[in-house]
Formats: sequence, C-alpha cells, structure tokens
Amino acid sequence: MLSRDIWAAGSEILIGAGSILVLLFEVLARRARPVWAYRTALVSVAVTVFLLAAGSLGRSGVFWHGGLVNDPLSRLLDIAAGVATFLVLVYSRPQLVRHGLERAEHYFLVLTTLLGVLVVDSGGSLLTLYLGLELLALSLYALIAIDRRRPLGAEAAMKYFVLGAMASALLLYAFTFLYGLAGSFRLSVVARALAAHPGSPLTLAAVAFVVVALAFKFGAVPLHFWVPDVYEGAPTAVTLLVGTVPEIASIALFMRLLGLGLGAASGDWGVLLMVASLLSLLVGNLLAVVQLNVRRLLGYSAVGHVGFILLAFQLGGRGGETAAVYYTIVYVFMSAAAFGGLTLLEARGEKSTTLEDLSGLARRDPWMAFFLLCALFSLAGVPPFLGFWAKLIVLRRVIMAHETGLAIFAVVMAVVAAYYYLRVVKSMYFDPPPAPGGDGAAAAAPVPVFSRVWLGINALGLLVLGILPEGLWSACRMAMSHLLR
Amino acid sequence: MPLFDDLAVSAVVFAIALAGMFVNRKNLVVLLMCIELMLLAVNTSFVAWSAWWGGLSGQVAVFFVLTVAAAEAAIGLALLVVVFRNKRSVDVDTIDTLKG
Amino acid sequence: MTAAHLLVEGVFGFFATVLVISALGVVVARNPVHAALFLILSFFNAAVLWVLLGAEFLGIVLVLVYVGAVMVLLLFVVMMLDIDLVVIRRGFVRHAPLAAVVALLLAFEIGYVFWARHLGLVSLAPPLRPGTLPNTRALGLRLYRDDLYPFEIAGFLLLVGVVAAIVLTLTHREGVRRQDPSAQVRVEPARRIRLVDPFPKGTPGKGGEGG
Repeated sequence: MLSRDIWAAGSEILIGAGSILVLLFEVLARRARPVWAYRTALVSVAVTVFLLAAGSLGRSGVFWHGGLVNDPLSRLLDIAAGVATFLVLVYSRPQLVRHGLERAEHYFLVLTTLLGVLVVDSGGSLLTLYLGLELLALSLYALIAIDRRRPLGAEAAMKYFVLGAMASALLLYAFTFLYGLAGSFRLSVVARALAAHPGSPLTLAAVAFVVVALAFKFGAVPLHFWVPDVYEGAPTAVTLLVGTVPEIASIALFMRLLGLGLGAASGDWGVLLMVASLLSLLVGNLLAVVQLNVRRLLGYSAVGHVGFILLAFQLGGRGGETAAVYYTIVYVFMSAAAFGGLTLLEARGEKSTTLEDLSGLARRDPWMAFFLLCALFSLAGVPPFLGFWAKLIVLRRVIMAHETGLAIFAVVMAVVAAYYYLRVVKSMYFDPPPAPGGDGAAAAAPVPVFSRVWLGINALGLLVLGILPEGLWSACRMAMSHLLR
Repeated sequence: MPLFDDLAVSAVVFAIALAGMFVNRKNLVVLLMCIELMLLAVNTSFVAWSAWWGGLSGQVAVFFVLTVAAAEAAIGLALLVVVFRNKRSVDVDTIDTLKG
Repeated sequence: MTAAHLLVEGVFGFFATVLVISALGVVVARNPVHAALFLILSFFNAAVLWVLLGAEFLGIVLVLVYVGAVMVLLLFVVMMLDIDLVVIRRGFVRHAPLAAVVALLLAFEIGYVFWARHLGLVSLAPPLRPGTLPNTRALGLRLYRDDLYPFEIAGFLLLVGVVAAIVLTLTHREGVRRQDPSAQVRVEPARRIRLVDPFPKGTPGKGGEGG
C-alpha cells in the first residue's frame, strides 16, 4: 500500500531529491562551484522527463487518500513542465555566468518551482493543490528578487508577493466554503457535494473567490498588473522561467479545480471567465502595441494569450478544455523560444531591453535572429507555425459553440497581436543596427554551442510541429479522455 | 449554533483584513500583517467547519496553512528588508519605478 | 440552557469581541509596532476560540510556535527597519471611503451566505460525534500516516523559505572579518601554539644573567 503510494509520487520525489542534491553540492563541495549544481539539476530533470515519457513513472490511479491523482493529463503536463524547465536551465546558464549571478540557490529554486508545478499537475485534493501552488509561488518570489544589484527585481517581487499572498488567502477562503459544503478536501467529494447542492450561496461565493485567485495566478485582466512589472523587473533568466513553467501549473489548476472540482457550477464560472477572457484579449493586446520595452511587450502579449486560453476554457465541456490545454502547452514552448533568444543575446553581452537594442540583429547574428523570428511568427499565429494551429483550434471550438461574435473579436485581437510581433521582426531584419557604442560589439562573446543548439531545436520544433500538427493535438486529446479525480 | 458564530467572527476578521489592505496600501509592513490576519480568519473558519463535521481534515488543513504562512512571512520579511535597503523606506509611493 | 453552556457562550462572546477589536487595531494603528502587538493579541484570542472548538493542539501551537516565532520575527524586523511614521500615514483618509465600501460589501456578501444557510435553504448533514482519540494523537496519526504526502511538500515549503530568506538578505561585504567554522574545527595544535625559547643562546640576555 505505502510502497505503491510512494512509487506513484516518483516524479516529485526525483525532482525533490535533485533539489536537495543541488543544495548539498553547495554546502559540501564549495570548490566545485555551481557548475555541478547546474549539471545535477539538468540530469534530474532529464531523467524525470525520460522516465515519465517511457511510462515508468506516473502510473495512473488515485493515491495518498486522494491527495495525488496520476492520469494521462498529469503525465502530459508533467512532461511539458519538465521539458520547459530543461530548456530554461540550458538557456539561462550562459547569461547567469556572464553576469556573475550563477549560484547553486538559483538552480535549487528553479527545481522547487518545477516541484510545485508537478504537485499541482497531479493534485487530487484542495490541500495538495494549495501546497503545490505555494511552493511554486514562494520559489518565484525569491527568484525574482535574487539579483540584489537590481532594485527593480526586489520591487517587482514585493508587488507580486503582496498581490499573490492576497490571492492565495482568497483562494483559501473559498476552500473553507468548499470544505464546509463537502466535509472533505478531495476533489471528487467536493464535486459530488456541489452537484447535490446546486446554486447554494456557499458555492457562488466559493466560485467567485476561486475565479479571482486563479485569474491572478494566470495574469488575466482585472488582475494582470503584476505581469509586465515582473517580466521587466526580474533578471532575464528568471523572466524566462516566469513566462513558461508556471503557466502549466495555471492550466492544471483550472482543469483540476474548476473543470473537475467545480464542474457542477460551470455556468457560474463560465460567465466570469468569459468577461476576464475578453478583457485580457483587449487590454493585453492593445497595451502591448505601445510598448517599446521588449519584455513589457512580451508581458502584455502574455496577457493576451491568457485571454485566448480562457476563451477556450470558458466554453466548458471537454472540447473547450482540451483546446485550452493544447494552447497552453504550445504557448509555453513559444514563450521559451522567445525569452530563450533574448536571454542568450544577453549572454553574448548585448542588451535586449528595447526594440532599438534588437535592430539589425539579423546582420550581427543571423541564426539567432532566425530563431527569434520563428518564435515571434509562432506567437503571432502565422501559418504554418505551431501557434497558428493553437489559435485555429480555439477559434473552431468557439464557432462550434455558436459564439461567432466572440470568435470575430478574438480574430481582430490576433491581428493586433500580429502587428506588434511583426514590428519586432522588422526591427531585427530591416532596421539599421544601433550606432556602435563601443562596448556593444567589443564585448560580444560566443554563446555556448549547447545552448544555441537547444534553442535551434526549440525554434525549429515550432516550425516542424506546425507542419505536422497532428501528434501534439492527439496527445492532448488522449490525455483529456481519461481524466481521474 | 456555535458554528455560525465562529464563521461570522472569521468573516468579519477576513473583511477587516481585506479592507486593511486597501487602506494601508502605502505601508508594506502593515500589508504583511493584514495577510497574516486573513490567514488567521481562514484558519478559524477551517477549525469551525472541522468541529461541525466532526472530522480532523479541517484541523490538518490549519496545520498546513500555518506552515505556509510561516514560510510566506519569512520570504515577505526578507523582501521587505531588501526593498528597505534599496530605498530606505517602506512607503509604497517610493516604489514606483515600475509603471504597472 | 445549562450553566456550562452559558459559560461557553460568555467566554466565546468575550474573546470573539476582543479578536474583532484587535483586528481593527491592526488596520488602524498609526504605529507599525502597535499594529504588530494588536496582531499578536488577535492571535491569542483566536487561539482561545480554537480551543473552545475542540482544536486544543492547534490552539497551543498557534500561541507557542506562531506567536512565539513568526510574530516575534515580524516585530523584530519592524523595529529594525526604523520606519518614518509621518510619511506613511498620508493617504489613509483618502483611501478610507473606498476601503469602507469594500469591507461593507464583503461583510454583506459573506453575511448573506451564512444567513441564507441559517434559514435552512441548504440541507446540511448533521454534525458527527468527534473522534474518541485525544486531539494531538489523532492529528499526529493523520499527519504522519494519511497525509504524509502533503506533509512532505510542506517540508519543502519550509526549506524554500529558509533558502530564500538567506539568499535575499545575507550579504558578504568586503573587508568584514567573520567567523569561519570549518577553519576553526580543522585547526591543529601545532598552528595555534608555538613554543618559543625566550632566551636563545648567544643573546645579550643570557650574558647579562651570567654577569
């Protein structure tokens, strides 16, 4: 019984053990310097992903009295989060080394972020969902402020912390309502209790608080303030992490908590999510147009993408939810390529803050410019890149639900998004390089081949998977067809 | 019905704390305290429901919420110290370099 | 209603009132140190309410561990930071109406929820009899057996808290002499005590003694 349960938490245990090894290296072998922490982190993530993909870990079932639920969805999201973390580690190291920020604690916190995501992915009770979410959030607060020479980071972390703690408190208050209704924290029991008491005021209050808290975590519009601030304020390597891995936890939280736990009240949260989705599409995309800072631009555009994800999710039913999961996974890898490119540019000693910094990049480093182009085209939804199919599938779902007005609005916003993404591409390819300031060209250092190759695989993957889109989509549909709770 | 009395107290404390976050938007220290107060209200609610259901799940949840609150307080205070070192102030108005 | 019931009601009423008042104190106190003390007062009162509800262990933990450690940490930081009080309170009056509206709205909503339940709109299961095990023992069994998985995650949370607090605040300034425990442990007698002959041969001292 117990050994079965322990084996079921294998992926979490592997990552947890990896994170502790990272700390031990720092304590016991200070001479080895953080390279070993980096290698340990990389290996533990790679092994976990491999074992999950091979099916040795994450056998389906309900374990730990409902606290841990392994199903095909949790395995898919775990693999996606693991691969994204691997890419984040690979992209961020050269930049960390160059700016003297490489410390074992950084890698430790990246691993605990991943651990939080894994716990949320397979969270079967309100308790484990909450703990996973907090593990993720606390690691991120610390990472955002980790560069103490950068006051912006501490500022962004403080804002994120105060708002995030408030959102968690609201979420917990909603959990007290659900516990009062169901007498248990297991999502299956909560779902049954909700179905037995339709429309109870406790349910309504719980739904309202949960939606507010989740909208914050995802960065949907009335609660999106922190997104551009954190994207700009955090060290580049951390922005890369914030913009990718936690999104997986957000969609898992939506699926587990709203889709499976509060599914009986989908009419109530559907309306709230639709409003949040429309506002996110509108505000995110319009504000992104006026940004000159590339990171703030990508931050606001992230809000716009969340609008797309929520648009699919609010439709309710497995079809819409599958589209939302698919879009999220695709978005994470587009975002990884885009921020990975910016991070590696900084590792070369270039600045990648404003649009001007990027101008003429195609002449300085054609390959890097091409990889960024792939990422941006995919984010913009240009066919045949993967991002095109993600948008198409969401729009098809919306039209099938006879919400043509919503679909048209989303298309208009996608066109706005294409405008600002293409502006970045234009700046890279057609604008003259900035006047040589002396330090820029002279300090340029080669980026390790390992990181460049992975960025290439990531960026070209967006193109190849876009030409052959069937695999990932059917993986998502498979994962969503055998849900457990 | 002691349950409802306890839940009412918890709700009032939660409302006060949430309002406190709006009133004291300028003072980071008090913001941290309001967060602690919100978690206290949540915990009281859990204990009350736990007594109502006669089980221990609610009390176990309180245990975990206390743990999280302690870790959160540690990080919040650490961030506070860092911000203070940078700015020599905990007034939110001085923390406006980011436009958000 | 028996005397015992009345007593419990009275105790509850008293501590609940003080809890609400001290919560208000946290929000309106002009001095952050006072706010922290009010916060500690509200924790104490909440602990009493928990004990009344049968959660003895948690009530004690709240006072001993939470107030004893976390609140003291908070108070410590508040006093360490030496905050300029006058500057901070500006804007309190400006935001007060908004805050009052938010609070009233929220209190109304939550009150409505429970009032609606009171009227029997929702059928609730009858309360079960509490377990027969002592509270602490029952909690221990739950934590270390059934809820071991969340318990381990909570352990990681605390580890992250420790590492994060150290990473964020520990500074190694140049030119500051600090203790190196491992160097202290590894030290050998030969490097600490050097036996010196105060009167080596051929020095003037020895000659003086002879003369």
